[in-house]
Amino acid sequence: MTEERCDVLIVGGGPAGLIAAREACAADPGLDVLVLERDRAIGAPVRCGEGVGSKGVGEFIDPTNASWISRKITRVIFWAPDGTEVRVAEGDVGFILDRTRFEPALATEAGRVGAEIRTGTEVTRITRDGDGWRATIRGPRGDGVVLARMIIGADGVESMVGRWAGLDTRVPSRDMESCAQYVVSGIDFDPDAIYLHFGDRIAPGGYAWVFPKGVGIANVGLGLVALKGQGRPARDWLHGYLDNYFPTGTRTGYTVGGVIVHTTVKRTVTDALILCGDSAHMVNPLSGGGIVNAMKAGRLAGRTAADALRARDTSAARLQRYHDAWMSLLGDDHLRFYRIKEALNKFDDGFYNDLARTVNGIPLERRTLGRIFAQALMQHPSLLPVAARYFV
Amino acid sequence: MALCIEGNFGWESSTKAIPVLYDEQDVGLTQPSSACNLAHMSRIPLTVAVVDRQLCDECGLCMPLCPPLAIEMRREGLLVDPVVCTGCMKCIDPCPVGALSMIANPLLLHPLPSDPRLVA
Repeated sequence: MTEERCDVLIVGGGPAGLIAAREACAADPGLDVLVLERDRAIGAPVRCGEGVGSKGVGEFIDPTNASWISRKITRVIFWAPDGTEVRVAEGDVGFILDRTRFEPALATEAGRVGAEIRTGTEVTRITRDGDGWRATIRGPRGDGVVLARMIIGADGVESMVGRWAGLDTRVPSRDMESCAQYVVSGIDFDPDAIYLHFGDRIAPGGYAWVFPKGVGIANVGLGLVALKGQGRPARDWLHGYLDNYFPTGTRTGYTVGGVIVHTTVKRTVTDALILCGDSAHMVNPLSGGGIVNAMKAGRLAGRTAADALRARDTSAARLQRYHDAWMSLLGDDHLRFYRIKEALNKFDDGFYNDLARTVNGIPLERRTLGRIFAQALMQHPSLLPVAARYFV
Repeated sequence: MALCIEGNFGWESSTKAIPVLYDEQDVGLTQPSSACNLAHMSRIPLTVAVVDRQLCDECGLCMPLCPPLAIEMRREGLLVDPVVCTGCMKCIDPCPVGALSMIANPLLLHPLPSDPRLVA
């Protein structure tokens, strides 16, 4: 059994962990930063729809001619339950990533500033060790122990780091989206648009999506709240959806996974330990998007860790500034988005069909998400209390 | 396939680790004190969750849903600790591939062996 030491041990080599590694090294080049990834490859398997906003990603890595972009998106198309199509937001909407290239690109940057990245290596347990942590690990080099002055947990939906450290990362079932997705090729759609399809018979409590990877090829998936899923697993719902809407497509690969549409966990830090990304429930509860959020949290986590180590104070009291910074950056917004999600959940298909027809009365160039929301308000004044909390 | 599970009684406050042998074909149980177990018999769930590893994609969705944190991801696959599982069924429907189901609690099906042994 080998024993090694590092300053910052990062558990999980996804967007949160890799940005945390890069930022910690950049903040203090003297730090020994180790990233452990359980899967054999950084970026694979892909468990994601791969859609991101262009502005958000650009904060972290230059998207110009990047190989990790599958497709640039310039339109959003909503499908109401009855099939009414609503087009919005012509312009730079975002990208569909190729995450098998995106994460390696982030890893390369982290490596360039000095972080060590080890794949195929899992952390099997962490326990307190003096002011830091003792992690037992298992990988291609055999079993080992890492003594770390600090740990950043970026280990995703299934986070074990949080629970080992005594942080409550549990999720009520109503706030878990069960998702399934196929890569479907040979289908006909607008390759510059993302499609979001709502309806109780499509994906109750969630939505179905078509995210183009190229012309004629897309990630087609859906996420639903299982409590409303009539006991049918997400993959069965998706089979039904594909049979109905893309019967001629070829399914070349599938993935499944959970998206936590909750709000940030109450405590994201404890002594010498920070949680970030999905493991801390930092997903936008309205859209289910989490990649850019994870990177923003990773940046805060990496910098806070470097800062705390420099000050030789890694106590929970000091790390609390990470939690506070996250809450003012996005966490508080998520609390508001969560209330909107709860309010929208009360509406039935008829509401969305009506809304779609009303919104189509607004000229395309003036059709923004804000105006759509305003229309929804006029149709359903019961949304007003939610809106008041959102805008005030 | 035999696994040694370090579990604790999820339905009581004690955190004493109890080694349990659990196997898909042959389920048995060993522990230092069967009296302790009997004392809590009334609170043992009749059914517990089990993972079908052929269906499971190891996405980990079920793990944060489990109130007593009975589900762990191991190298060899996902695992529900039958000693910790309370049979609440919160993990069953959300599984995107239907890999989780309820089975009769192996702790009730098999009598406790008289001589405790630890299996690795």
